[in-house]
Amino acid sequence: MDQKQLREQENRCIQEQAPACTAACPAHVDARGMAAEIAKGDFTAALKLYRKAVPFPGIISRICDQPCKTACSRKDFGGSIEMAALERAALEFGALADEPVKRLPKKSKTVAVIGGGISGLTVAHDLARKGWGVVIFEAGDRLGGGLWKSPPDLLPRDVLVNDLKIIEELEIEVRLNMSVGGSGANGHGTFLGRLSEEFDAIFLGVGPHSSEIPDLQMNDNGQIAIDPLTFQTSNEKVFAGGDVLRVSTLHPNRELKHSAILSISDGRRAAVSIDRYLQKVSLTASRVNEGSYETKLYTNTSQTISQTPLLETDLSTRYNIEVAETEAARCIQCECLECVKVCPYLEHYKGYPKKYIRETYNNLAIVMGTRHSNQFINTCALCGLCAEVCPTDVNMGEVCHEARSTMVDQKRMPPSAHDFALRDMAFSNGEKFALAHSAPGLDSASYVFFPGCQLSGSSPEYVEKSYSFLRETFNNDVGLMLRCCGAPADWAARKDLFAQSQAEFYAEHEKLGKPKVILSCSSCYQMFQKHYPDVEIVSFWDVMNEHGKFTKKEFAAPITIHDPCSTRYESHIHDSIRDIITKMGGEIQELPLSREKTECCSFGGVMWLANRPVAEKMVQRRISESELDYVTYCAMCRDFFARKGKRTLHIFDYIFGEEKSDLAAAPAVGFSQRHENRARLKEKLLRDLWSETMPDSGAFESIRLVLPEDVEKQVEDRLILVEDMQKVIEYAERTGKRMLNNSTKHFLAYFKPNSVTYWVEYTKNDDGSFLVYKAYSHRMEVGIGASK
Amino acid sequence: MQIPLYEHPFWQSIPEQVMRPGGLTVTEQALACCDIQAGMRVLDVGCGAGATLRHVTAKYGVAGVGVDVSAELVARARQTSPQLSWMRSRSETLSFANESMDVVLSECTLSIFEMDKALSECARVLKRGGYFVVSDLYARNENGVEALRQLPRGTCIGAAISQKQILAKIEQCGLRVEVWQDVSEKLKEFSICTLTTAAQVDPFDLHIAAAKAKLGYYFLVARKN
Amino acid sequence: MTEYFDPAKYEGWVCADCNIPLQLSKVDVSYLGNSFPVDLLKCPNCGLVLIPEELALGKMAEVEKALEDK
Repeated sequence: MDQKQLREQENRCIQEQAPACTAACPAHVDARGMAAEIAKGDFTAALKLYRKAVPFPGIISRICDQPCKTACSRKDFGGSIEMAALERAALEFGALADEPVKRLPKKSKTVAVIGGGISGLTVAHDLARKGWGVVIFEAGDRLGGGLWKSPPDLLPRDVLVNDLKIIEELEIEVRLNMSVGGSGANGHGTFLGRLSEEFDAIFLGVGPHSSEIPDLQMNDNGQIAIDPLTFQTSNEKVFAGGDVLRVSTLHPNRELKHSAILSISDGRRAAVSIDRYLQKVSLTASRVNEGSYETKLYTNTSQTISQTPLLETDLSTRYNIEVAETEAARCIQCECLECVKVCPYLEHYKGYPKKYIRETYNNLAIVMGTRHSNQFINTCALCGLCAEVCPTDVNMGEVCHEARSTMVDQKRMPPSAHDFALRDMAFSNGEKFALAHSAPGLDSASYVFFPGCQLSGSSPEYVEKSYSFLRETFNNDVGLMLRCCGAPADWAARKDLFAQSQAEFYAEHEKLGKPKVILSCSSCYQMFQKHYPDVEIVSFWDVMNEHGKFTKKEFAAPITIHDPCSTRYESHIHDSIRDIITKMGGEIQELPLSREKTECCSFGGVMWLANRPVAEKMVQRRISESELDYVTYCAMCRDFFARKGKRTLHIFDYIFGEEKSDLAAAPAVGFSQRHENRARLKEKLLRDLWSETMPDSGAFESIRLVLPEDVEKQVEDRLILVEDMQKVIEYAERTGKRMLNNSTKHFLAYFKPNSVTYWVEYTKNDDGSFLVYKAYSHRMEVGIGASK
Repeated sequence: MQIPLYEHPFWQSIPEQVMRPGGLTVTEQALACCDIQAGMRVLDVGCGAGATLRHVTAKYGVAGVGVDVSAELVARARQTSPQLSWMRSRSETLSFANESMDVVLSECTLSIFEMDKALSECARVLKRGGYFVVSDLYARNENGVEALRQLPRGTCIGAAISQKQILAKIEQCGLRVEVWQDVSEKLKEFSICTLTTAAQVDPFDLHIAAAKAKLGYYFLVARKN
Repeated sequence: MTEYFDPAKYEGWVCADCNIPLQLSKVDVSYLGNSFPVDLLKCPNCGLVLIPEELALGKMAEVEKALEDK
C-alpha cells in the first residue's frame, strides 16, 4: 500500500489533537487531564500535570486570566470549567513528594536574563534545568516584577515567595538592583554590548517599561520587532518576551492587559529558542502549535446537557474537596471518537483510527513480528459508516481494503479468513447456478434481471416473482442472469478471482446484446457502480416503485426500516423503498442510524466469516435499536437479524409474501439450503421458461443424508455443507477407504475436495440413505505416512 | 529411557553428522566475514562428533580443539580424527587460559547451556581482536518469546531469545558484534520437528509456540576489543 | 507424547478396507509449507489415518491459526 496514502488518512484523524482548553492555553496546561484526576479525587496526580506545564503553580492558579475558558466546550452548556479554582484545589489537596528538582549536567555557556518578572523567571527556570548557567539582572530589590502589583488577598505574599524558591534551588545567580535601561546616551546601549561579550545569549523581560528597551529594531507599532516563532530580536543574541513585547513606544501610557500565563508561554518559547541557539541548531525546526492556537479536535456536544457550576466562582473562591470534584466532573472530557461511537468493530479493539492506521502500516511492513493485526484488517465490514460520521472523512474501510490487497500481494493473507465465502461465490458462478438467457422467445435483451446469489439462496420464489413482474413491466424484453457479482472476491481483495468473474459476466452480457442490468441486491448494485462503470444499471426498487401495483397490507404496528449498508449513498433507493411501504399502508419509524448513516449487519467485508465474535456484536447492536419489526431489502441483513431472534421481514414478504404466515419470525436459511435453493431455482426456470435441462449432477449428489437436529446445527456452525459430506461418503463408499468402529459399527471417512479436509462419522440405513453422527474439518494436510 | 537430546540415535542419520540448520554452509558464510590465517587457534564449543572442526582445520590450516559435553561424541571424534584435540567439557567452564584462542565457534549450542556463563567463558578464552562466531535459533518476534517459555524444559527451542536480547548479552561480555545475519530459510530444510520425538514435546505445542515466536536461525560474528 | 489425543478412546477403530486394527505411527502433517511428523492411528497396510475430532478442532486449528498469522 502507498505509504503516502496511509499517512494521509492517519493525519486526518483528529483524536490525538489537544482539547480546546489545552490548545487555547498559551502554556498548554492539560486541563482535561487535571479535571479527570480531580473528578476521581486524585489531587496529587492533577498537581503533577499542572506542575509539568506551569513552573509557578501557586502564582498562576491565583492570577491566571484563564484563556481556556473562552475555548471550553462546556461554555455554552452551563459555563466553562473553572480551571483556576481547580488548580488552587490541586495545590491545596494534592501533595508532591519533596524531590530535588531535576537538572541536566552543567554546561559551559551562560545566559543573561534581564528582568525578574514572570517571563524572565520562566526563562531562567527552563534554561537552568537544561544545565545552562543563568544570571538574572533585576532592577528592583526583589524578584517578581509585576507580580507584586497583584493585591495580597488575591496573591498571598507567602505563596508568591514560596513559588520563587525554585530559583534558589536551581542555583540561578540573581543580581538585584541592576538596571539595564533603555537605549540612550549613558552607555545603556553598551551595557547590552557588555552583556553580549560576557554572556552567550540574553533574554529581555523587563516588563511594560518602554523606557527600558535597549537598542533594538522596533516595528511600525513602536514595539520590539521579534520573530513571532522564535522571539529573537534584531540582535541575534537577544530574545524578548512578556509584557515588554506588548508595550509601545508610540503609546507608552496605554493601559496594557496583563496575562501571566501568556508571559510564561513567551518565556518558555524564548527558552527553547535560546537553548537551540546555544547548541547552534535550527531555531525553527519542528516547532508547531506553540502558544495559543485553535485545536482541530472535534467534540460532539449534541447530547451534552447544560450543567452550571455548583458555586459561583471568581479568582478568590476556594473549593473544598467535594465542590472541586463536582466541578471537575462537569468537564466534558473532550475527544472525538465519533466513529468508535457508531461502530462495534472500532470499539472492540479499544483504539481509534489514527492508532489503527499506524498499527496497520506496521503490520504490513513488519517482517519480524507476528501479524496480530491480520485479524483487525480482515474484520472491517468496509461499510463506510466511519467516514460518514468523521469530521475529516477518515475511512477505515478504505484503509483495511488496501491493507488486504497488500497482504494478498505479499502472499500473506490467511486462507481461512475468506475461503468459505469465496467457495460460495465459485458455486454461484458454476454450472449449478450460473445462467444467462434472454427472455423466452427473444434472442436478445433490452434489460436483464440480475437478482444476485443471496436472494436466490434464501427466497428463490421471490426471484421467480420479481422476474415475472419485470417481464410484465417491460413487454417481456427482460433477460435473466443468475450468478455472483463478485463481491466476496472484492472484499477479500482477490483481484484475480474478481477479474475472472467479471470477464465471464462481460462475455454473457455481450451475448445478450449489452442490456441494462436491473439489480435488486444492494451489494451487487455497489459492485456494479464501482467496477462496471460502462454497464448501465437500474435499481429494481426504483422500477418496482414506479411500475408496481400495490394493495394495502396488514401492518399490526409501525415498522422500522434497516437500509443495507451498501445503499449508503443511494438515496433514490432509500426513497423508493419508503414509497413502496407507504403505498402498502405501512407506517415507518426511522432508526436514528438510517440511510447514509446506516449500520452494517456484519455481512459486509466478509466480517461474519473473518471474526465471528465481533460480527455478533454488530448484529446485537443493530437489533437492539428498536422493539419494532424491521423491514429490510437485503436477503443477508434479513437472515443475519432473524438468526439472532429479531423479527425481520424482507420487503418482498409484503409485496409477494403469503399474508397468513408470520414471516417476521421465519428462521434464517442455512448454508447448505442456500446452495440447494439456488440449484433448484435454476433447474425450475430452465425447465419452465426455456424447456432446458440442468447439466448432469455429480455422483455425490445421489447420496442421501439424514441429519439429526443437533448434527444439523453442528455442521451449520462449523460451516460444513451437505455437499461436502456427500462427497466424503461417496468417496468412502466407492473406494472402500473408511474406518470402522467394531463396537458401534460406525464408519469414519475423510475426503479433501479442495483446501479443506472433511470428516464424517456415519452408518448406512436400510433404505440406502446415510445417517450422520458427526462431521468436522481441518485445513492441515495429512500425509499417508512418514518414513520410519 | 531418557538420553540427552544430542546423543539420540536420530542424529546419526544426518549427513556429515552435522547436527544443525545450515550445516557447514552457514559456518562458511560466517568464517568468510573473519580474517582467518593459517596457524591460528580455533576452538569449537559443542563440537559434537567433530565434522566442523575437521572441515575448518583442513580448509584453513588452523590448529583446532573441540570440546563437547557428551563423552560419547567426544570419543567418536577422537576415533575419527585423533590428530586433533578433543576434550569433554561443558561450555560454562572451559579449561583454557585467558586469551588463548584466535577464533571461538559456538554453533547451535548456546541455547542448550546457561547462556550468560557460556558467553563469558567464550569471551574469556578469546584473544583480543579474536573472532567469536555464533549460530543459533532465535525468536524473530520478541513478543513470542513468552510462548516458547511455556514449552517443557530441556529443548533448545524453548530457550530461544530475541535478537535484541542476544546482542545485549554479547555486548555485555565486552565483545563487539560486527555481523548479524538471519538465515532462517535454513530452518525449513532442517527437520527440527524430528527433534520433538527426541525431546518429548507435543509437536503441536512446539509448532504453535515456534510460529508465535517466529522461530528463526541466525549467525553472528563478534570481535573482542 | 500423544497428549493431543487419547489413543485409548479410539481402540475400537479398524481399517475397514484392510480389516486390520489401526496402529500408532508417524504421520506427516503440513500446512502452508510447514511440515512435521506426529503420532497418529494409521492403517499399517494402506496408510489410512485417523484424525480425532478433538485434535482437528483443538490443537490442529491452533497450529493453523498460528501459521496463518506468521
